[in-house]
Amino acid sequence: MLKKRLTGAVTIRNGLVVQSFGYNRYLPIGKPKVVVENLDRWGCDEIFIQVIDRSIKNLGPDIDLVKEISSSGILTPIMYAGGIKDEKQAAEVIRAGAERVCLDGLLHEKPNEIKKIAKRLGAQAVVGCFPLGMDDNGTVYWFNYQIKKKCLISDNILSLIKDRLISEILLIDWKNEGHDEAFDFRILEIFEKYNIPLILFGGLSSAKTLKKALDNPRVVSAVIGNKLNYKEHGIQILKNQLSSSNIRTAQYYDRSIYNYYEKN
Amino acid sequence: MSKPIIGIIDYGAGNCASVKRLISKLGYRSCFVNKYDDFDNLDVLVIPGVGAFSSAMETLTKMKLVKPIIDFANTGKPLVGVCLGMQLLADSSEELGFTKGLGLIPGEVKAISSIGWHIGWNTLYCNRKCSITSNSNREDFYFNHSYEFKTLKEYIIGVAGIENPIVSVVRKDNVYGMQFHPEISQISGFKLMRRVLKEFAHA
Repeated sequence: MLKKRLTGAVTIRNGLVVQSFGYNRYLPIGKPKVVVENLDRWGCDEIFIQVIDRSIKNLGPDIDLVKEISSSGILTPIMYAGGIKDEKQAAEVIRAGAERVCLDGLLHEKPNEIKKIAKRLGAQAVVGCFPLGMDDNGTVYWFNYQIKKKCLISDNILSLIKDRLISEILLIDWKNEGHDEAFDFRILEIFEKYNIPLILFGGLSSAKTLKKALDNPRVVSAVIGNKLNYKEHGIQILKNQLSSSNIRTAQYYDRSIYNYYEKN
Repeated sequence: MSKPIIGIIDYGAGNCASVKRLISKLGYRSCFVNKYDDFDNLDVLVIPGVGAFSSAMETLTKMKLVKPIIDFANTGKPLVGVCLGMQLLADSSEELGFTKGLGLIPGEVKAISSIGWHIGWNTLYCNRKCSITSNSNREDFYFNHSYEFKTLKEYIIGVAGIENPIVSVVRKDNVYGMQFHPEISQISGFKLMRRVLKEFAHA
C-alpha cells in the first residue's frame, strides 16, 4: 500500500529560502542548498521547491538551482515549481534533477502545453498547482498570484484532469499559507468529483491538522513549510506522532553513509 | 585489476545525472553512453528513465542506440533498467499508443488498472530468492509511474504492495530491472544499488 507522504516545502525568492506568509510577507531563512540538504537527511518523503519570483520576472525555471541541489547528492525526490513556460523548460527541469514539475500559471495560460509536457515526460511527472481560496459567498476560486486576482477555474483545465494529463493536484490554501493550524478544508470540494490524488499545502503544521488531512482518502501528501525550518528533525517528530496515518517510518541518515560504503 | 566501468544510457531522459551521481558515490567509474562507440569496454550498462515510453523509444531509435543495447545484453554482460528504463526492457507498451520495446524480458507495459497512479513510497516484497534483491524485502522505495510491466511469473523478483501488487523488480539472467527509483529512495535505494553493482560489476 502506498504510504502517505510528508513533503517539505522550500520557498525561494531572490535566491534565498524565505518564510512566507500568504505569499505576501517574507522572512529570510538561508541558502537553498543547505535547507534542502537538511530536509533530505531528516528523511522527508519528498521536497517541494517553489521559486516564487521566476514567473513574475519572466526568468524561466531556475535550472542552475535544481542542478546545484541535485548535484549535492540528495537522495530524496524533488518536485519543482517556478517559471516553467513550455515543454522544453519542463524537460530541462527534469533533466537537471527534479522528479516532477508543478505547474500553475501554465495551466491557465497554455493548457495545450500541458498536453505536450505530459506526452514527453509522462503524466506522472506533471502536478497541477492550484492556489485556492473561498470567498464570502462560499465559492472556491483560483488565486492568480501573478496579477493578484481571484479567477475561476476553466473547463479547459478540468478537462486536463479528466484526460489524466495531470497525476496529482497540489491545493494551496494561499490565504492561510504561513499560519498555524489554518488550512481551510472546504477548498477540497472543488475537485470532489474528480478522482485525482491531492496534495495539501498552507497552514498545515501540527500533528493534529496533518492527521486530519492525511486521513482523507483522497489526500496523498501534506506539505509543511515554515515549521520545518525552526526545528531539527521536525519531520521525524511529526512522523512519530502520525504513525497511525500510513506514513513511512521516520528515517534519518548521516551523509557520511557515503564514506562508510566507500570504505566497506 | 582496473575498476569496472558502468555505462549510463544518456538519451535525455531525466534522471541520468542522479543515477550517475549515485554510482560515483558508490565508488564506481561511470560514463554516459550516447553513441555506438561508447559501448566499448563497458562492464555494466544502466538504462535510467523518466518520461513516457513512446518518447523514450523514439529517442533511442533516433540515436541509433536500440541495436547496440540489445547486442550488449546478448553478450551476457549485465544490463540494469531503472523506472522507465525497466519498462523499456519489455516487448511493447500501450502508453500513448502501441510502441515496440527492447524485447529483452518478455512482457507488455500496460496502464495500472487497479489504482491508476503509483506515486510515492511503497513497500517491496520479494517473492523469489535473488542475491541482489532479497535483502531489500519489506523496505520502502520511491515509485513514480502509471504504467506497469506485465510479465511472466518466472521473471518477477519483487512486487510493491500486497492487495494490488505491482511488478517492481524483474530479472532474466543478466538483465535486471527496478520499477522504483533507487537514486532517490534514500538509504533503501543506496543499499540496493550497492548490491546491484557489487554483484554485476564483479561478475
